[in-house]
Amino acid sequence: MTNHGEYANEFRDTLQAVPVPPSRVDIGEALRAGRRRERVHRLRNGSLAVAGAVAVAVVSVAVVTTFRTTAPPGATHPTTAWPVGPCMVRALPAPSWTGQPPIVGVTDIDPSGRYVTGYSAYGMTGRALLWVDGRVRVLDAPGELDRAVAVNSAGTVVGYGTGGGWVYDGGRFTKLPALPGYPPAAARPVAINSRGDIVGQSGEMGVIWPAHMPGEVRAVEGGLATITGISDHGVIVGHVGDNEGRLWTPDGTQHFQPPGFESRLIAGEWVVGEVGIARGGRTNREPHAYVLWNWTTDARKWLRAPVDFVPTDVGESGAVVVRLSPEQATRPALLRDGEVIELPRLADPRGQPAEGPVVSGDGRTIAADGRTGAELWRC
Amino acid sequence: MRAELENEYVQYARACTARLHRIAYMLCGDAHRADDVVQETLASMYVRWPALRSVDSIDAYVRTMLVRSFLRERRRPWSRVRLDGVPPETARPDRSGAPVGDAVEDRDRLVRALARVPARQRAVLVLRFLCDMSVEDVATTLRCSAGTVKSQTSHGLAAMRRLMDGAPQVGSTR
Repeated sequence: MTNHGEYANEFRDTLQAVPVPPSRVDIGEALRAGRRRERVHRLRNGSLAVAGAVAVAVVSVAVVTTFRTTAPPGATHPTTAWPVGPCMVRALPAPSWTGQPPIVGVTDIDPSGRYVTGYSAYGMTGRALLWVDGRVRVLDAPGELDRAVAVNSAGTVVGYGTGGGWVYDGGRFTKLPALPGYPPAAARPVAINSRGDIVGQSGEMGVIWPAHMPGEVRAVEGGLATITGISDHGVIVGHVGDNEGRLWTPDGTQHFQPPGFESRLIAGEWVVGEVGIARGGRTNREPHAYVLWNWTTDARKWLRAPVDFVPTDVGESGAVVVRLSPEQATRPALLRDGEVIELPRLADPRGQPAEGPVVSGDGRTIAADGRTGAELWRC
Repeated sequence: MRAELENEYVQYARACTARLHRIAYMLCGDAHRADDVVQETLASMYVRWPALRSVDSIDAYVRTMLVRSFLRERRRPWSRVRLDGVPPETARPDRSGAPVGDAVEDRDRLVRALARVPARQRAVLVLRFLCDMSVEDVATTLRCSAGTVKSQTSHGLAAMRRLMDGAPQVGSTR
């Protein structure tokens, strides 16, 4: 037997020669987690506290304008119950390919309401799903842990898995390239518009895969960005750093939105943005409020509901769908014409949406998921 | 954070991820858990980046964050459940297609044995023998005395010999 010193040297040599499996660390994800953490940290320290009011400035596409307003009174405090709206619900079928009930997620609906995308996951396996007229199709995507994330009115689907991003069109999958220097798996689409322009991430870089340049990818102006959506006009929204909102016009120009306004969703002329607001005494969470902004007319209005909520999608008509009480017993609802319409659920009222709800262009067809599976509403 | 600071952060994160992942893999004995620990370290690093970027020994600082993140995670109840529930075989790195030989087998056994050494002893072994750190630097990283580092090194190496020789494991793995 070797002595202690010799064993230590032998141990060092073997340890240093051990091959390490490839890392799947996602720097873009670490960046986003860091931003969220930094924002909470700053708010806890009160550096964003502005007593009673918040100044919000929004850059319109053509003209820089600012507006000043106060937080919506009582926006997040229960006042009265609201009526259950005239929406009919039915189940979206999910495949039971595991013999066990899988988790089903709904990620997008096209403007016509005909196509819905999502995924079905069980353990370490996942499959991309597409519902067409309420009937489900399992997309045999090229990777593992795949999910479909967006669909346009032509039924072209984008998604990603461990192998990277892809487009599904006419029964064929095409891989989306990452930027040079990034591994293929770094390509992650987020949204697709009616022209077929796709936006998303290549690692921490915001990118577009233009419809007229198949197989090409280019970074958005400014590069480092988290992209959240693209309209049919080709307007892209996203953010950089800690809630520095950005908007890119179809010519590729980057427009800055002052700190405090973070564009999240876009459809047609409508952008839903998050606004940081200080609330006295509530320092244990991120204060927020949401604005619906028309980027062509510069009109804007606060989104309101009697309880806490998070907007999850917007339609071309300006209808917004939200998750009410996002942190406990969350329920899907539609905000339309100043009205809050809670969507009726199927059998299990405790079902918690993991993704969505998502809404069609006219604001009348909505899809969401819950523990019991996916649901479709017609309002 | 301003965009240019963020750019610097990304450049540094890209450069250090592979190195951090190697250390984390040896600490965790599991590539997925190692990814989680590195991801957590990079997110913490983001928050501290404005101050951290001007630190002289930034690599050492970030490595300390990683090791502490690993030790914190080990204290969480869910961490024990998950790790202890994984049979040793499933924690082996994917070697499909790799040549099979004594050296490869030794390295596999070493990773599995190391995962069974108590967490703080494992951290001492990894810092001293993988990162080639001095006893004093390890003591600073783990916030303990040099004497403790020496005794943990000795106990850790003894545990590794026992485990590599196939002798019955003595004591707890936590």
